[in-house]
Amino acid sequence: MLLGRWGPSHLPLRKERAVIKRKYKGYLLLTPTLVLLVCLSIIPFAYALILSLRHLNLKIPRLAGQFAGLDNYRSLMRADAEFWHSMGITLLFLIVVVGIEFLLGFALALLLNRDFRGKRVLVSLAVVPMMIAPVAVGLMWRVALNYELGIVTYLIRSVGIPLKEALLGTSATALPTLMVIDIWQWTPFIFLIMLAGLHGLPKEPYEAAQVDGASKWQIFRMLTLPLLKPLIVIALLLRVIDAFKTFDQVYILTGGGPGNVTDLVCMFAYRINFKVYNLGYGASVVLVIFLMILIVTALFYTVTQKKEEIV
Amino acid sequence: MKHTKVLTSKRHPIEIALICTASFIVFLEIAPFLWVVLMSFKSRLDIFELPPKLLFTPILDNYYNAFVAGPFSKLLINSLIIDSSSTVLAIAIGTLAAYAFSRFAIFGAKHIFFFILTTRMCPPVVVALPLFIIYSKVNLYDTRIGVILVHTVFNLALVVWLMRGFFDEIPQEIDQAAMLDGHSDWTVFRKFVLPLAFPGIVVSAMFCLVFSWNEFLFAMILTQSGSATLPVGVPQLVTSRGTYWGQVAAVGVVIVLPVLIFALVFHKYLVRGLTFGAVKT
Repeated sequence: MLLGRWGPSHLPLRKERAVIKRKYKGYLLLTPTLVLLVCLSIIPFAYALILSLRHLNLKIPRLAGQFAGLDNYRSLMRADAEFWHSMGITLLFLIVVVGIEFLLGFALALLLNRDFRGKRVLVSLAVVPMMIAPVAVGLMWRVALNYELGIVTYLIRSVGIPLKEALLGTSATALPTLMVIDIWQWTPFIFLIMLAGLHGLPKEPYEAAQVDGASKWQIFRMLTLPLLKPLIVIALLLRVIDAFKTFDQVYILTGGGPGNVTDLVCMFAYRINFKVYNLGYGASVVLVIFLMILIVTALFYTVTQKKEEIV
Repeated sequence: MKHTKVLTSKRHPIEIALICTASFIVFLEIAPFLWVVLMSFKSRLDIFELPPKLLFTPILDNYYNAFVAGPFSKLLINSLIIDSSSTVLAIAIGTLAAYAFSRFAIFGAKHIFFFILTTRMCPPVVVALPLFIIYSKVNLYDTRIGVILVHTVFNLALVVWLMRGFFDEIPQEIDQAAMLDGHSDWTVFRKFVLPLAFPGIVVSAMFCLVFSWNEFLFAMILTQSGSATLPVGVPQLVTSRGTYWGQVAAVGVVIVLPVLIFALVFHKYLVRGLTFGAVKT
């Protein structure tokens, strides 16, 4: 849609040549970007693709590089209980954290969608957790959840709940604790986007609705929600992608343990590649991960492009 | 709570209650960080004191041990070099590409634009191992240039997506008028369009700085001790003989503080940056 605008018809004949020239220079401008992406994205990606078709486990030297066809994918899909466990908890993690973050963030945005002094500062402070390094987030919580000196452990005990073990060291509480941390970190993201959305809503439909005597709930359901829908979809998709990619926090906080109860899929892939050294198999794992992200990214792309056309 | 004093007395009690709740939630969001800041100034004895001491003699030992006696000054320098270089590169290269997408006819533009996005959305772990092998072969392993290149690529997608939005907002008539005046493409870009897109460049650069500063997996896998960044060094404070909590807190504060300032200053553009320009504020 953008390309059509710059047609020769807008310009006098004399300049037609300049317009055609502009076409070629577009590729020139794009070249550095594409060169870098080919070298550091496409080549490694193709490499992973090749690896995934081979038996290559550094711990079993006799398998060095034999062609495996789709064997890796086959065993991944059919037999690997660990992989499916990992997929399962990742899905659970996604649904729980994105769901709660959305509800909390949206509620908070509705709550703060009014003017009062100090609002700007409040909002700025609220977004701090998602901007700071995931590693720092992990460490902060590692300190706070420490069994001996952690403030969270201390607070839980002082409320009267006996804690026999560290929250992250117990199978039953490790994953929920990770979820709480993610919710703590990313609720502000939904909040911020929704607040911006609410802020940008047109005034007229609301005035009309009030004149018609619509209730607050009706206004919310019939006006606010539909108007915010594109924004909601964008926020949720971005959150899904990011939550799926969760790695740093898991690496710092639990390393996937205890056992494998917090072995989210990126952690799983990391372990197979860099701890178990099953490179062929690991490559097939990461490609499956990539495929899933690709689908969500395609959705995101479609939504954003469509939105631009409407605007 | 101290937030209550910002409210005016005219308000409805329910509204005041709501705002207090919101303030409390915001307090929860920053409380862990405040606690770590306090901890970074505590002695080893004070750190283990429960309930946590709010009044104590602040000391700088943790900062000294981490940054003067320990290896973290070197990591800090690595972080600064890698961060700034990758940002300059990503901005320089990405801005050109974004301008191309905004103004020029490019075959398959939609597909290339989508492809660029996927490079950013893709989890680092997908290309981590192949990159590691390639880096070992071409002698980029454990070099700053190696990390700079990866971070540049990592940020390119963001720059291209954000800057395209900023360029699209600049009316094409400006280019057309300048071209009719006989200026070359390059002059049009440099003298007319770029100054108008300058706010966008600042915003994009700030986001690049933050993401490169925070990035962990690539930096961890592609470096050893020579060119590791700050986030990579922190887990090493958790040793088998125990954890240097004080130093963890001190390094944590140094990692977080610049980003905190960024979030406060660029508050206005956060939504736009975080949604790849999909939501314009």
